[in-house]
Amino acid sequence: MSQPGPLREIGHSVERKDGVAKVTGRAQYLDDLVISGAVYAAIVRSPYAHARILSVERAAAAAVPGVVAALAAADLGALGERPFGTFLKDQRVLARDKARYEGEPVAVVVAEDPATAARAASLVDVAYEPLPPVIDVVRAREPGATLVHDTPPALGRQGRWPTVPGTNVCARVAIEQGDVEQGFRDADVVLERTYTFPRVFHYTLEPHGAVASATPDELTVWTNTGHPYQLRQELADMFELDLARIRIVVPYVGGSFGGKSFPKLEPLAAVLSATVGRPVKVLNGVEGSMRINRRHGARVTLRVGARRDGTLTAKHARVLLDGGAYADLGPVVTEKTSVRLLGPYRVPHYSIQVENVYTTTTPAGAFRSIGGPQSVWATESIMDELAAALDMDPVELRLHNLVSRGESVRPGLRPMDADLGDDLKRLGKAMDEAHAPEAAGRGVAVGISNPAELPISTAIVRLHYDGSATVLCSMVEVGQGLHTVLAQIVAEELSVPRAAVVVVSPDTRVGPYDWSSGASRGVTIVGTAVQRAAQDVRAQLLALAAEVAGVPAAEVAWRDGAVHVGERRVAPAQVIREWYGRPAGEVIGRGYVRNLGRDPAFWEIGMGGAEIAVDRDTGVIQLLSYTGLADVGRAINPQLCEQQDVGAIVMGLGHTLFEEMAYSESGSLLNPSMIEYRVPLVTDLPATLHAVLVENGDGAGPYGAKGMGEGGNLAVAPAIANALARATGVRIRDLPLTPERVWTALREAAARPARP
Amino acid sequence: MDGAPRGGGTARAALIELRRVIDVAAAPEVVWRRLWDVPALARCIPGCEGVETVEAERRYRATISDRVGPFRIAIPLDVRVESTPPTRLSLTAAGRDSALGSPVTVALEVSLAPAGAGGTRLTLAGHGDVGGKLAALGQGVIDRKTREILDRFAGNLAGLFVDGADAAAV
Amino acid sequence: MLPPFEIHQPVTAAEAVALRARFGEAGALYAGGSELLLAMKEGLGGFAHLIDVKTIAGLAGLTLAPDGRAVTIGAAVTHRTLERSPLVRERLPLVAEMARQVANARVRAVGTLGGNLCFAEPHSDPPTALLVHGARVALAGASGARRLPLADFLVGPYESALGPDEILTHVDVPLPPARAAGAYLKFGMHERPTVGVAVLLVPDEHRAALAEARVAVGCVGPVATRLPAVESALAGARLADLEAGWPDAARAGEALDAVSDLHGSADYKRAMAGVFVGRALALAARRARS
Repeated sequence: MSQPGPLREIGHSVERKDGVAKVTGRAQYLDDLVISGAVYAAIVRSPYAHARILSVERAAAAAVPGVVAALAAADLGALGERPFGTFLKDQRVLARDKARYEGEPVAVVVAEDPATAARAASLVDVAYEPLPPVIDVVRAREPGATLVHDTPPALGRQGRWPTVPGTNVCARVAIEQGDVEQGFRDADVVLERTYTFPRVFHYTLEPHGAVASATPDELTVWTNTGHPYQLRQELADMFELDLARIRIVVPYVGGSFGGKSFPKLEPLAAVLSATVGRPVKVLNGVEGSMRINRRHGARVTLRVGARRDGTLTAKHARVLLDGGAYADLGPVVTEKTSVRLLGPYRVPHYSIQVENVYTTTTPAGAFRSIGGPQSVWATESIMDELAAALDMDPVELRLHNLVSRGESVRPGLRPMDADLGDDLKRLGKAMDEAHAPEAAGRGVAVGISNPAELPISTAIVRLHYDGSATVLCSMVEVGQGLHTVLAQIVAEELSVPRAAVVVVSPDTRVGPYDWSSGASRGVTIVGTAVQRAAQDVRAQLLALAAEVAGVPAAEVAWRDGAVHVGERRVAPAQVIREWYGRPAGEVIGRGYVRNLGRDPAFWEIGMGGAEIAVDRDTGVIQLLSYTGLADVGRAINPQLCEQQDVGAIVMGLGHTLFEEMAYSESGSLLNPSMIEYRVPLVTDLPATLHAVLVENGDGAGPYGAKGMGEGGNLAVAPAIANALARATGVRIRDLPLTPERVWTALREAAARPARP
Repeated sequence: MDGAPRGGGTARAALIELRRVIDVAAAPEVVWRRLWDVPALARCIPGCEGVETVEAERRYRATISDRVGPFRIAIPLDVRVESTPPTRLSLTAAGRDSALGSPVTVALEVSLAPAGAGGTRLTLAGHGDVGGKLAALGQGVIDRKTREILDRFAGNLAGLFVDGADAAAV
Repeated sequence: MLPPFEIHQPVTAAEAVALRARFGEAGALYAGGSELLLAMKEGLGGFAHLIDVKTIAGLAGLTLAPDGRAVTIGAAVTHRTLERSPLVRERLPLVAEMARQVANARVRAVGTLGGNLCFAEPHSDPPTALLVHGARVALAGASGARRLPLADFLVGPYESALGPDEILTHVDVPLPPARAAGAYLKFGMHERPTVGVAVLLVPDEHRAALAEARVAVGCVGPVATRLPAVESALAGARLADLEAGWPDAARAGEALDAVSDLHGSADYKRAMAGVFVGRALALAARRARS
């Protein structure tokens, strides 16, 4: 939807709405909230990856002065038995009969203060009978493997993919087209390779938490969730309450990256509050968050075929995702992975099967481009391997196969809405400008993803009689800059100063419905809802102005940021004052979105190019420059777009170079705190790091915008591995590319006899 | 290079393997009887105290304690034994350390076979595993300590049969 | 969460020693707390009493010994102080170079040299740099004071020779011989290093060849250690050659007792010890020649 006339607000890097509050410490996060009468919960966690729970001795803890209750699942009544899960109902607030991963909550102590709760929690004595751990995804899938879930869980409200009974398969998705074997017969070159992607942790600066207050007919939860409305439904099901009786309040949130999607600690807090009859606060620290959620590890076996000229003929993929102990978003990750494995290329014949497999590890869920980095790691690594086998330039091979604008990526989905070839050439130019003379290798990768499905959102814009505006919508500002951009949209549409627009954080009692905070959907979908609400305000103002002037509707118009009644210019707020007859009242606009054409609402394009040097003695990869490219349609706030993309790139450096949740064979997490778990540091950033924003005004969102913010991390790992292969001749197919892994590969390569 | 990731730097802790062969100049039946002298056997395990018989020849309780620098680590263990006289003895010990609640397990298979003239070949094969925070706090240190204890146990056990004397202590 | 404990602040070493005797295993020495409190937060130790050595008079002293041949570093001197002290920077530049690289700014601000040596975390920087200086530690105990070489003080991971009724009062670091030049290099991807290497080279009077070489490696194994075989192999080596790269460096770590852990496999650590011995030698040789 493009806007005639010049834009005043859109396309400017205005300052963040929440910037000053955050840097001055004025912003109130969950832990800052004071809820009167609240008591504190400390969680007792399973020390075993897999164990039957024989007994939970809680008398000693309950006897500690200040302890309100020491509780195991059996103490929670029906609420303790009721499973939750948006896609598969396989999780309970406390483990009942058995614990399925190290760190799973098994009991809870609720006390008047956190220190007492923590001290008493150490007195809870749980007797376990250890069961065989299920850690390795390949072994988990073998016939006769120990089952993580003995009985198949029921589908959740949004569930479409059942488990495969008798196996550890949590969800399976297969897609195909043509005749893949024929495709391989058509090929001159066929490659088969296996790539692995590690389990990684979100590491948001603010860990998970929730405060719940349950009364017999109402439940209020203050939480740093990214999904207030998904959570409301889960809690409504669990507590058998009407949606209207559940209130979810979201204060400032210190990052999500998907890790705060869907229910996390909220069901536990709510059930505890219902049990003890007081508001209950559950905070769990970064170490606790490592026991809540992570990204799916993956093992991708790819076979691709191509003709001598580089034309792809077939792709065959078999993927095992390591889903951890509970489904969470896993089934959707499985489905998205299947499409994301197609890549941005024309492939006439393909067969892709993805299985999400239960293991006795921290549950995996949503994480910035679900299934994206795992898929693109494999598909873009093999493109370079194929280029080498064909003796082609890797960029040329890609250009030869990229789908064109309007071409189908997969039947039923939106045709490609970007000029991928132009984008890739632009990336190449930008890389040339960023060129570091000492670079030993250069690699590129192209990622696409299909985000923003289920584009369901609503928004309310209230224009007040002084000309200021309040925006109500329920996507969460998790740090991505959403509130700033929404204020820009409202300021643009209603010609009010940006500073006079207040965007309210979600409270389901007052804020209208939104599907989720994720999938790069903020600007496109929520932005459209807000834009429509603002336009609704405008339409109403015209009607009110006509009524006040007593003229037909055709004689009033919106021009140059004001209502015009004939030639008389009336400011929006003045229309309100005139209609109500005094400085009073307001106009309430509403915006609904249920779809934006065919899914996905846009293709998210994330390309990247890396230049590296390699220290052959140590195996250290030194990243010299990294150039990202995001095809954003229109950058409403270019600086925020660039920061989002650079942030995603830096996050991608984590799984590329450093990060992995390392488990022992018996299922212990060996790096369970930020001292041992290594994330990218400022000192790891290359001298040149920037993102190119492509703005063709061709998106389905406001002013031609597309969503962004996830795509930046798609290309990082393959771009760097491709650069490494070019610099050293060594191809590594397992992440992260730690110095020791690179050093080992270099040594093995040196020990191999040179090819004739 | 296909296959399981390796050399990642974020080392995947493997189980701590133990394998030891001890040749004894006594018949298997004699050696077998000697193995069932529980107090003597307990003395072979460094830091082992408070051995308690729950069910003779099947279930025992004992605590192993040791220091890691300023920190005392005590691990009450539940020991289960299965035996096929006089050739095989299978032992599992499991427990959690009293400070951190970290799981510790040891599995040991002892087999006896006639060897040489009237002698016995004792084969010890098994593994130890330390999990939880204890493993995470000092993986290298803990692994080494566990191996050390297992090795000293095997050595002490061999000592039990030297010249038929009770050479349990090291 | 940190469990509750009582803190005691003695003002003399004798008082601290008496407190140690009184509390036994229920007490622990507390210097900077950067390691101890982390372990206690995890639930280790369960110490009801912490004996704060920072309040003991003189333990924060940093002075040139009266004979002018050593620097005396009080046990409660922080890494930050070592890093910035003009005395250390001038007279023990290798120690200052090491201290600059310890952990992060927050740890350097509170962490102390004495705490570091007594806690004996195997992946730590100071012991390595002090070993090549031939440092000696001074201990005060119920039965009097004693001094011993640092190498004898370092027993194993988290284990030192500190007796249950002793405290570490200070470390004497002999000044390097005239013309000596050193280097401290560390390498790793994690909070704690994979390898730390200290080299101290004493050139002959022409600044051409080595009169003496001292090389120590830390973090790789249970304790930091000197490499006597490497040191003797370096005898008489020409500085110009070392600066260009010592061909035997690659094998310098071969004999090390390396431990596999999150910081790397034993093989990798031994190899990295060699790489960084080579680099530290080259850097120190360059410094020695200029």
